[in-house]
Amino acid sequence: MDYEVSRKVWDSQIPVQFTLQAGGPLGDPLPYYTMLPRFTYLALTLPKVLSSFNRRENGETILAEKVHLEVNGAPVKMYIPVGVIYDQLNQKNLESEGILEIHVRTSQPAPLDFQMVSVDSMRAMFCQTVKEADYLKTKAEVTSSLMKEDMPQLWQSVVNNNFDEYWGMIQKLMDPKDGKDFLHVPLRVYVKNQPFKQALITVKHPDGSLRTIGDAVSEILQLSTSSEASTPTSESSATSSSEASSPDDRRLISHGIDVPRHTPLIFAAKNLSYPDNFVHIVIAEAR
Amino acid sequence: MESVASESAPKPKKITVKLKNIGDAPVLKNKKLVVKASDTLASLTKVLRKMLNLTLHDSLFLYIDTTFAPSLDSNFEVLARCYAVKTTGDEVVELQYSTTPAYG
Repeated sequence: MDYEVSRKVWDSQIPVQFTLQAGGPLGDPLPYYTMLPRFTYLALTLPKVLSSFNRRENGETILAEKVHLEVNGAPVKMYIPVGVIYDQLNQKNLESEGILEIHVRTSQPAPLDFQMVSVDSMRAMFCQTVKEADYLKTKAEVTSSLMKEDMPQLWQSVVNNNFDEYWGMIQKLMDPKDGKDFLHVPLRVYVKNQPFKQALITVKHPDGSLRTIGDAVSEILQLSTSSEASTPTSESSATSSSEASSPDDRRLISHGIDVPRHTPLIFAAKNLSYPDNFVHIVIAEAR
Repeated sequence: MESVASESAPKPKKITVKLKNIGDAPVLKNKKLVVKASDTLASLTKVLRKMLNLTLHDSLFLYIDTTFAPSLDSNFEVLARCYAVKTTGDEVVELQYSTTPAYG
């Protein structure tokens, strides 16, 4: 692992605005502005946001169980890193310049495809995702040899934004002592309006040369049945056909930057992963 | 993998799922299900809750290879590509279910 790169990735932040349409005689509370680390989750931020909204005198107390969150009029996933949500909106779709606008809604019922995630379930989901990543990398050898307090410590480093604690833990997961290559690289690819894609991708080609991140993304998208045909909605089939145009036109976005296609996949796995141990790549169209 | 790439028929791909109970979870009469590749684990969880007659208060956890719980928005295309088990030539996604958290 590269300390400098990991540190830079860890430190990158995005501006986020939370608004609440409360109605009633008091009107809407002032928006809540914050800078969030890309690696964090809305599930972790929402309690702070609501306590800010609830600080108003005589205002009705807003409970987490009673709200849902929207971005651009669509339900937002509270359990994927906010940096991935930001990259998916892909600059031009952000409502005002460069700011991720999250709307807290109190209307009932919440949309069916919205899932409220408490801090506790977020911790459980995070730990399972780290395990899934390790299953892909080492058949879960590393996580099953970890000490009982290691996983909670990794989670705490995310909750407390503590890089030193994170760095101590993440090396165990990324640079296992036995020095074996990863079997597969935990990589999720996001194409607009489609469910995320993931496949078994090895670090090297059969001839022993290093696979690049560009190769890996092409392989994941090419073999995918849903990006070829049989898409359930007309919307997603329209985007997939334009997306499939030419692999060279694709931009691979992670942590808000264009990742060069020739980046070795193993470098991305070790240095560009989110704390959940997955590399999250958002596909954007060429400028 | 090869057969998937050459398949050009636009009909939705189906995936066989094999379910096994762990712990005190009730045993299913029908342990095999066929789902659409676009179905998510969340939608299977709903079906399974009905099949097992679980109430709103009961929890349900699904695991791969008795090791980890995939995220609920994983669809079966992803699960088949990453975790399908090939026994008799057919690709099968094997899941274990439990009503209590079983692994880490």
